[in-house]
Amino acid sequence: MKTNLKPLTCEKARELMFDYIDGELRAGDRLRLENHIAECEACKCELSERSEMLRLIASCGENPPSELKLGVMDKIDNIPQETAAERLRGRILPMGALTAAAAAVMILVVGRGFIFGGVMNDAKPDAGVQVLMTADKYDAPEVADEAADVGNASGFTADAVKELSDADMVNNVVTAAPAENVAAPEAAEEYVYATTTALKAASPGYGLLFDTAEVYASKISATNTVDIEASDSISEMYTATYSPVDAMFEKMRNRETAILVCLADDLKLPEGDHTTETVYLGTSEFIHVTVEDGSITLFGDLLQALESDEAQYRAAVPEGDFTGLDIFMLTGAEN
Amino acid sequence: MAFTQFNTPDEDALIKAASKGDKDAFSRIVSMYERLVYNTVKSKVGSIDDAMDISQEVFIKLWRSIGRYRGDCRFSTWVYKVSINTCLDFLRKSQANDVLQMPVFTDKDGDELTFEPSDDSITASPERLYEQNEAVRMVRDGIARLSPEQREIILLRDIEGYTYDEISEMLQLEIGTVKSRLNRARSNLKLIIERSRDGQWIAHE
Repeated sequence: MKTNLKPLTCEKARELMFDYIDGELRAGDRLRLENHIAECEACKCELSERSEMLRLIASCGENPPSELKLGVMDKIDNIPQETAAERLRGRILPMGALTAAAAAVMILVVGRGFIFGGVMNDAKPDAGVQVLMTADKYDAPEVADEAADVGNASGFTADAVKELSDADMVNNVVTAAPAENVAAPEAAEEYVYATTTALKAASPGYGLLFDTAEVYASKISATNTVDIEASDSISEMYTATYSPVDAMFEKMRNRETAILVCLADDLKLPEGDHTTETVYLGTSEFIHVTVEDGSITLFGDLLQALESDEAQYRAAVPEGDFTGLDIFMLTGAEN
Repeated sequence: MAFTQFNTPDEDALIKAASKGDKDAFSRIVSMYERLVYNTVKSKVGSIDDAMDISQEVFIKLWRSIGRYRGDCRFSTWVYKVSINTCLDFLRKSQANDVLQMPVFTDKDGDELTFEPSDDSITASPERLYEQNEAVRMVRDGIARLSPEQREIILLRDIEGYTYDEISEMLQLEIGTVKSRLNRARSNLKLIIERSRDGQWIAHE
């Protein structure tokens, strides 16, 4: 087909050849190349060689010996999977305290693509803080580095920091602080700050989340009553931890940190009004509570505030950048 | 939870089942990814035995920690990252980074291929060089001589057939970078093959 397209030089033709073979050329370039090939024997030959080479490359892969799979399947018979409790507790949080003490508050900082979770044990301020951080930006070593630095600064043991850097996958960064070394709120704050700073750099969608979370946080701190009929102890728990959490929110707000969920374990929900489903979030197993008619008084005004504001936030942020309103409850009932 | 954003529903179902301890499901996952894992590992480490051991270790890690996968990248990306990290751990531990840059390619009997042309290929006619076995052998030799970066991209795209999108996610590169790196790698490979072929022609004549 003859056209008025500008003819190609041999050099340019060769630049386009691999894309041509891949079917990646735009129509115009494709025609120009075909026109050139029709008239240039050397390039025609080159194209055919390249095409042959790609065909040969494709056959260079090797199927692994069958022993590979047999060996794997044989070995995993004796290798248990990490349980949710292990993922959360064994490696990360030796936190019998969470279920035992009535003053544990789980704070999740949820971003698009990453999660930060911290556990503060307010009943025993000296008991320290156990922090886990998960970044699913697999290539975010700076996050690990930041976390390690903070870990060092906060008096995390060398072993804990080592575990951080030796985590078997870069995306799962874990530290555990020995109780006596860390003053809980400060360490958690520092940790959150460093983590979110690094994660913000790694995730362009983060700013939007922060905008919404900031308001969430203020809603949470503006809630002075906790109305959970099913469990007095939860009410106490929440009240007991309210003050430091509130202070933390304040600081986090100033530091552009996202906070979506605040929860405690062992919460008995009233029947009806909601559905639950087990989900895996980061390294932990959670119950995801979906409220069906909005009448549940989970954490009193908190949920209501979140719900009534959702439409507004959905309108305010571009589609796809909104993480939604998810209430995650840690299933921490194993005693 | 948007668990299924990147994978096919079938794959998600397998992952979910495997994360709940279903070994049949995991077995199918192994089948789906053993080529990727094995060829990736083999291109990074020094011996076939190591490649087998490390590949197994990769799958055992996957088995143990599959519950951590949250579905916010492709599962193939996750598998690839675990493979690479396991290789890096191995290389670090073996403290032999300097001698492990050269990948091992084998012929179908499992014998390592060397870069010396065999007697057979020296005496073969130029036409014969284009016959399948010799040609594949030559291409493999050529791939082995590429830089690790170029080798990696050829492996992912031209051998294992991943899409630009998938590779972009695995290597954390812009798609444009993936394309240009691939183009360079292929052109370079062609040059290497041509030189090697020309050398043999000279030897033959």
